[in-house]
Amino acid sequence: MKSTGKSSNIPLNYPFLAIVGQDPMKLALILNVIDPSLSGVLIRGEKGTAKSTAVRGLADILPDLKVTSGCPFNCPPDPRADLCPECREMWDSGEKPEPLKSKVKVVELPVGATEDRVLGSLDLEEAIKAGKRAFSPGILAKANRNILYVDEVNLLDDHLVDILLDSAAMGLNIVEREGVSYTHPAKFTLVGTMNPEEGDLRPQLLDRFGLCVQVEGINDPLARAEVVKRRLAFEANPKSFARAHNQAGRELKKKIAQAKRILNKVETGERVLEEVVNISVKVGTDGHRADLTMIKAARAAAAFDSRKVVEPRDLRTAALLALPHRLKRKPFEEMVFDLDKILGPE
Amino acid sequence: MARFQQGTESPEHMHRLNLKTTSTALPAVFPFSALVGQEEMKKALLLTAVDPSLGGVLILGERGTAKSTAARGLANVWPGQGKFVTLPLGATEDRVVGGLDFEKAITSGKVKPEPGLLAKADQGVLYLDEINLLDEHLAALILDAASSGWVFLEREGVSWSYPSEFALIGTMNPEEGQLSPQLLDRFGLAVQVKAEPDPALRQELIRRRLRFEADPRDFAIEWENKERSLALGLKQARDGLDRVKVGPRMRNLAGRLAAEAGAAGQRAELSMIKAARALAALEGAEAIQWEHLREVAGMALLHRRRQMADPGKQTRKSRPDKHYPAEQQELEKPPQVSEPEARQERGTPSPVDGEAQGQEKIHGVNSPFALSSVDPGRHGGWLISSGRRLKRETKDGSGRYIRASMERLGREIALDATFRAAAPFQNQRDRSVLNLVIHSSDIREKIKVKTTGRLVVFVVDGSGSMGSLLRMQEAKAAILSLLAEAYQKRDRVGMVSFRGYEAELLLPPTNSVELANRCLEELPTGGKTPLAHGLIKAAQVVMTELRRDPKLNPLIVLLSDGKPNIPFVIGAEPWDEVMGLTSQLRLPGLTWLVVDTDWGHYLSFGMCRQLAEQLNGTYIKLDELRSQGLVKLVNQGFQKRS
Repeated sequence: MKSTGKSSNIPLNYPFLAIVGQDPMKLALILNVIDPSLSGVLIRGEKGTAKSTAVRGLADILPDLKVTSGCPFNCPPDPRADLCPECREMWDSGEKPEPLKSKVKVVELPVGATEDRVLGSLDLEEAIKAGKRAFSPGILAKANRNILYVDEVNLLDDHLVDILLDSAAMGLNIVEREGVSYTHPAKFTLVGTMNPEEGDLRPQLLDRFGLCVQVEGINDPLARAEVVKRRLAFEANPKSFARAHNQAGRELKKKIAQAKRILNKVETGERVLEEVVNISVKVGTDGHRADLTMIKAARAAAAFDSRKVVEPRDLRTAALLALPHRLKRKPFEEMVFDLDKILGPE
Repeated sequence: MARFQQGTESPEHMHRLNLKTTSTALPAVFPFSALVGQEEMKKALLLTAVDPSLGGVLILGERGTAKSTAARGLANVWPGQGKFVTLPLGATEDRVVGGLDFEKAITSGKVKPEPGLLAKADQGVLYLDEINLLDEHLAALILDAASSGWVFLEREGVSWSYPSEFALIGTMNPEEGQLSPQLLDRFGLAVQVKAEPDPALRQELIRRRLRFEADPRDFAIEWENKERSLALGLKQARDGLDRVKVGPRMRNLAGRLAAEAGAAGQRAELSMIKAARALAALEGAEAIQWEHLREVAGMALLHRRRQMADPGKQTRKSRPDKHYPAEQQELEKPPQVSEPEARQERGTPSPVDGEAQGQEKIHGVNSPFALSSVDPGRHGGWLISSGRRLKRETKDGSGRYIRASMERLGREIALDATFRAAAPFQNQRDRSVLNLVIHSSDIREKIKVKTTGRLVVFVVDGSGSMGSLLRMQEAKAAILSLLAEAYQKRDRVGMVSFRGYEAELLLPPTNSVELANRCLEELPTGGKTPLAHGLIKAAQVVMTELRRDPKLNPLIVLLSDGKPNIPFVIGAEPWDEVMGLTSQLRLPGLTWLVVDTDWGHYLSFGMCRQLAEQLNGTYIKLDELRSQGLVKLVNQGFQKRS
């Protein structure tokens, strides 16, 4: 097993909170972090709308993970959790793995990635040197419990997307290829970005993303000037710029951690459940993923607001993020929908 | 013949979904008995558990309808010793049928096979999610095993065979593509699932799901008793299966039901009887009753009806000709014409054709022809998605690695296969430096395949004459209906327009529907007809794409009234020039479809027909097009060659 440690000279990320505007995108990302079972965010928009910046910055404001030292799958040091075979064996044999604190990583899946890089493959070194067959973990291993980021997800090879979504849906990576047979947990927050002008995603794939936001360029001249100003300040001195946003970042981090803690205690209530089903039936979404996602997003929104009861406004927020990409639209209709029409005016 | 002992040979790196040990490293599975609604699907799965020889279940349905959840849930209540084996989408051949265990070969010099997933699934379940996305080669291997009950493995001059009797459980979203009829027929039962319509049940479904996700283990404990009694019931039913009587009357009835549905072959009948028997066993009945048969008939026939368009509808008597259901449906369906269009057709005589020089109009886009293939999922015809996407070997290293080849063509080296090839000889080679010595005769290369969408380039006549008669709207509507299909699949569409004095590439090949639609909306008309330039431009686009992928088989659809009046070379006679060009436009692999928009005109010059003949293409009039559907024609165009 190779160590996954990295040197600390990684260039600083542009602070998440320093991004001007784009609130729905920020909120969608935060809600997914609070409840990773929301299964990802798809960010649609033109070039230069801070999509990538937001994803990279997100990692900095996330609560740390507890991982098992040396485990390439970032298994939690908890025998009750879903573990990789090695960690499972350690616990079963009475060994106590060493816990470690780790920052949440944004693991990037490059558009040109090969299948064996994504899934993992036969460990060549072991095979040649020792004549042994071992599994060499791939990108999905690294992504377990982290953020898997696919820039331009619409340009990804079809079969890679299928495989990716298969894993995402099961929370498992089942490898049966190239002489290896291996299964490990693969639970990640999937974040994809795409520019619709460069090609669309199949509707089936759209549905697999829990939330979807449409980002647009900022038109307000004042806000635009602010974007440029901040960007220049960041480039001139990334460290001091980051420091200026440190305090707010820490507070947000705390807020997210708090929301994660109370998430399971948030009451959804029968009324909310009823309303969610009503909305789904009214807009005619396929299957039940929209129902579940709406409930979960509403719950996460309430938790983010430090509340333990879901309120109508949470549902509104949730519907805005969970429905646009699931509407039965004709092929050429723009991806817009009128929330007021469905829920009635606020 | 070596017989593979179950569970004893699994190497330490192996890990699988094992029926009895799902609790180890794998996430908890949603209990089968906790599933809400979807009674038909649950019943089909349970019947298969009672009688695995039924041949498995195919679950068809839209996204997000708990298809996978139910299939996986079955693992926990499956009676007997068999395992629940998941065959992932990215599986390679060596893991499916098995291969040489190279570790053993290197360390001990012994040639021993390592059984694949098919052998592991013996007496159990082989589960394939999204089965319609599976590689065809792998699908064929699975079919072989399913029909013979054995896997045959021949490697390095030694052959082995393993028993491989399993129930095949597959899920698929029909919107994603179809399944070959052979594979379809292999499934004993098929069920279609939809989102739960009852709001109360839907709410209960969410409630249970949330509780499960909050604490899967607690939830499992909550349902433990139900699961246990279900498992027990299944086991008893399986044991009692042989005691259920099958009378000759029921046998006859099953035969008649199958014949009425036009189900080909004996398998429908057999599945129906077996399913009814399993149901009777599950209910503790002594013999199959009419009720049992009636309950399972739909499942046994759904995927075998000759006309599969609408499982709910009464099917017609089988026809002698073997039309594909897709074609049948389209032929039988009256073309739907939107209202303004229809009025236009019957309405007043058309205004005189005129070359409205310099006058630009942008015609609205008529609503696309309502073709069944536009939205296969919702029109009920789940096999209608016509136009198979070609899955074929790639040369550029892209695509999915499915198996290795001994042939040396300079492809990527398949290391796993190379190691397996080298392993048996390690004892005879000098291993003082490395543990694994590879000779060039061991080298294996990867065979990779990829599904490629198609390329359709539209060449649209934007001249003034097209502007009249609302031809442009007709043409746009036709293009739109094709685009709609491209939206579902991964076809690329390009568009060239010619008008005034030149042709223009309006839309480079793309699969962005948004872009194509916008381009179509803004398509201006007016001016003269530089047909030659339009044809040249389109051919250039296709040639560029062909250079990138010589196997592309592109299609050019020309929509024009075929009256060129602007030559490409100044001074040339426009029509003669076009005719002279045709020999160069007949590119290898390229298909031409010429749509004559000059329909209904008393002064039809037949120029388009002549052009189509010269191009070795297909000729069709615009009004014929409307009745037959461009999508279908285009698909035929593709099928003709493949």
